[in-house]
Amino acid sequence: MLSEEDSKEFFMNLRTIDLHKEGRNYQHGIAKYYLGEDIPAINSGLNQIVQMNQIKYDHDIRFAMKTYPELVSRDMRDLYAKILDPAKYDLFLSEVFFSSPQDKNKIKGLANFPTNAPGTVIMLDIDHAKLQLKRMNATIDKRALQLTMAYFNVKFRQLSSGIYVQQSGVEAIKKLISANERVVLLPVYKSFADLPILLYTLFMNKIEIPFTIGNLEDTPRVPLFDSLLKRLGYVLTKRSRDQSLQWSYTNQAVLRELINKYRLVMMFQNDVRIRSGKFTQPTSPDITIQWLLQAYLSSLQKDGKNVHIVPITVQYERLFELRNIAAEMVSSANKTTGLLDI
Amino acid sequence: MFGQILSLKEYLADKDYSKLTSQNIDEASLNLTERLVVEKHLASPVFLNMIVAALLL
Repeated sequence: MLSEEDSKEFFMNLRTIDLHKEGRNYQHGIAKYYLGEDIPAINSGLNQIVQMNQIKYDHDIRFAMKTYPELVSRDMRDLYAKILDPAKYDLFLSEVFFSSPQDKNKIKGLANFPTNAPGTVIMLDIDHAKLQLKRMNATIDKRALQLTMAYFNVKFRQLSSGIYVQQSGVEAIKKLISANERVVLLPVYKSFADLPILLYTLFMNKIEIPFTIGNLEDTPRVPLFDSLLKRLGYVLTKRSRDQSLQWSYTNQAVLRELINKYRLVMMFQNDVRIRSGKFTQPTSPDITIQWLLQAYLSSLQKDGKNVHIVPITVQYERLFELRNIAAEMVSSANKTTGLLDI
Repeated sequence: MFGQILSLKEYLADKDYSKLTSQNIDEASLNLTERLVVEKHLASPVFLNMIVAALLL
């Protein structure tokens, strides 16, 4: 026990603390020094009756730079040598198509297949494959990704009332990655907004940003977007069913090498956007599932390796541009939505 | 619950495709596609505002 004299000098009696006053002090400190709000001191006698958005001008840039600083840049060109390896092409043919004589008939049905005399070896056209890869090439550019995340941090705040993520799924993905397992994130392609939402979710949860097996045919051909998408790791894969054997090989080889090297890949399951979210009974397998199983058959199965598939769906339960629509309903003003308003 | 992670190796073994070959890869692909589509369908109720949003996006 302290003497009365000591207790005056060394304050130890918690009963004398005014919790209400200290609570206000604490709140003020958090607002001023943690959130950076410009607010008057508690004892200034000023009472705030109107509050505006006090997010600092550099809030979103700081968010992008500080949320996931460990993010690393990646380049798909590192995989080219393995994709263009003729031995792997032969393996693909022998495992996926030619494991029995009657399977050779399958190949005859494929469009653009060069005429080969019986017994000739079907060669990989290296020059053509290089052109294919040039078209598909993508990188994960740290700076481009951070700027994109800063932009979407603003836009998601303005356009939506919130993004909610099933946290158990996020934790399961993190657990698999930390166990060095191969993981394929398999979202349904519903909207152009899917990719930024998914990348933003991974970024916020500090999950490494994977390459995304996208869709060449159902992606707007805008040079600026193309350039940006390629820097976000979006691989424009040809998904039409009439593709040649070599196209098919290149697509699945890209997937195979991405899984083998980076272990985490995102791949839109369906070919074209199903914007209403309505599913129909499939009568033929999704081409991405075919590529995945082909990659598994020609590479992973032999080595006893496994792949974990994570089904993902993005639900648009709340309306984008809700505020604009509400404004139009009230004022009849029809605000034009430009590129920068997206 | 939606979002359960699927181990491809276990799935194939469970469906008697433990040895995937060129003979059964097409069938296995279709089965896996159906499995994933059904799961995503059940997890994707269609809301009226989703349809409106789809028209906007």
